[in-house]
Amino acid sequence: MGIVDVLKKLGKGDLLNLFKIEVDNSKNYDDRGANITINVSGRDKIEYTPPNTIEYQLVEKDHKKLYKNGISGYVREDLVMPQIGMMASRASKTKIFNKYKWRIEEKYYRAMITSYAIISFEDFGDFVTSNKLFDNLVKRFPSCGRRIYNFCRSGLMEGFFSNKLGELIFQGADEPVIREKFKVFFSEYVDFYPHAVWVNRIMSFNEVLTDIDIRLKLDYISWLDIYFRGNERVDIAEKLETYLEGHEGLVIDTIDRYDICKSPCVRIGIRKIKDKFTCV
Amino acid sequence: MTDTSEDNLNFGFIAFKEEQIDEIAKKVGLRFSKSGYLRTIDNKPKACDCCGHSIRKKNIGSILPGSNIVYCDNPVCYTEYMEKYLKL
Repeated sequence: MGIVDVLKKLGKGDLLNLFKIEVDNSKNYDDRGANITINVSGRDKIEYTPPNTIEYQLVEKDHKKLYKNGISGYVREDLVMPQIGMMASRASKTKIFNKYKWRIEEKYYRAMITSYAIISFEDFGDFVTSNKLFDNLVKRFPSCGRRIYNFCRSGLMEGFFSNKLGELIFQGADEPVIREKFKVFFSEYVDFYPHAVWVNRIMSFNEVLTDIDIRLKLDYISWLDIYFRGNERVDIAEKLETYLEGHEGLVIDTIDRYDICKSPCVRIGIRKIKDKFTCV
Repeated sequence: MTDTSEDNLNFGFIAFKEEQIDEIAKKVGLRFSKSGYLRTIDNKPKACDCCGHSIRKKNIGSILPGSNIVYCDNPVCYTEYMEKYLKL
């Protein structure tokens, strides 16, 4: 019996239309279900594993066992695809989620999911929803929400942390050891990330300089990125640019100007050329 | 269809239509009042577990099986639901 027949038999035929399932008839699906490719809002394809028939039977018999069997919830049909599409339409995001699951603390992972949702809404240009989501993120994760969002938005999850994780995996340690080590590593960087300063709304120019100074005084730091977002922060960026031009101990490597939603953003990359100096 | 296990996600959703919502609410010990608002079995109003807004059939988003945890269809609430309960 193919999966189409199973779904129809169980009265779940509508799911086929809902998920626009493309069934490969050459494959012999069994009752345990199989991976199905679906189109997400006409964009990238992702793989979806439908609940198996036993779980479908549980819907009828004992819904309390559903969650234990991997059923996350009853969701209104028109919300499923837009939201899944938002979260997982890009294969890279799927890989990122899989990469960090169980390897960072749960609260960080959860904040990461929301952060990528915020980024998706920002990329779609929905500033209102992304702002609401961000407020919610900070409210729910006051200690780490902003930092995790900054990591995600700045590409550190795909770059810096991914590389570190790759190193640990390459060293050939067992998965439990990798998890333990990476959890510690990641948590330390959530507390203090030495390679970047994200300028927030309440930071003054002098506070930015102090933050830069703290980092560049560390022996192992030779470069630093400073991120500015929004008109007021961009003004600070210009001020910093002028300030650093005449500085003997530092050199500006890169200045990137870009937009997120409608906000102008600047990233200034600086490099230390003298060992002992002060920025302030 | 290639096997891309690394890219595979099991979202574990069961999608429902508006006409099925009475039945699903009943399964988790909830019901809709005559005025259309969601209520618990002891007739207390059941609000969205994220934003606290009252829930009607038209704005219900998600229900967690085995509980009476309900979220409305606001993207913010829905994202919280995904973050908390979705098995990514």
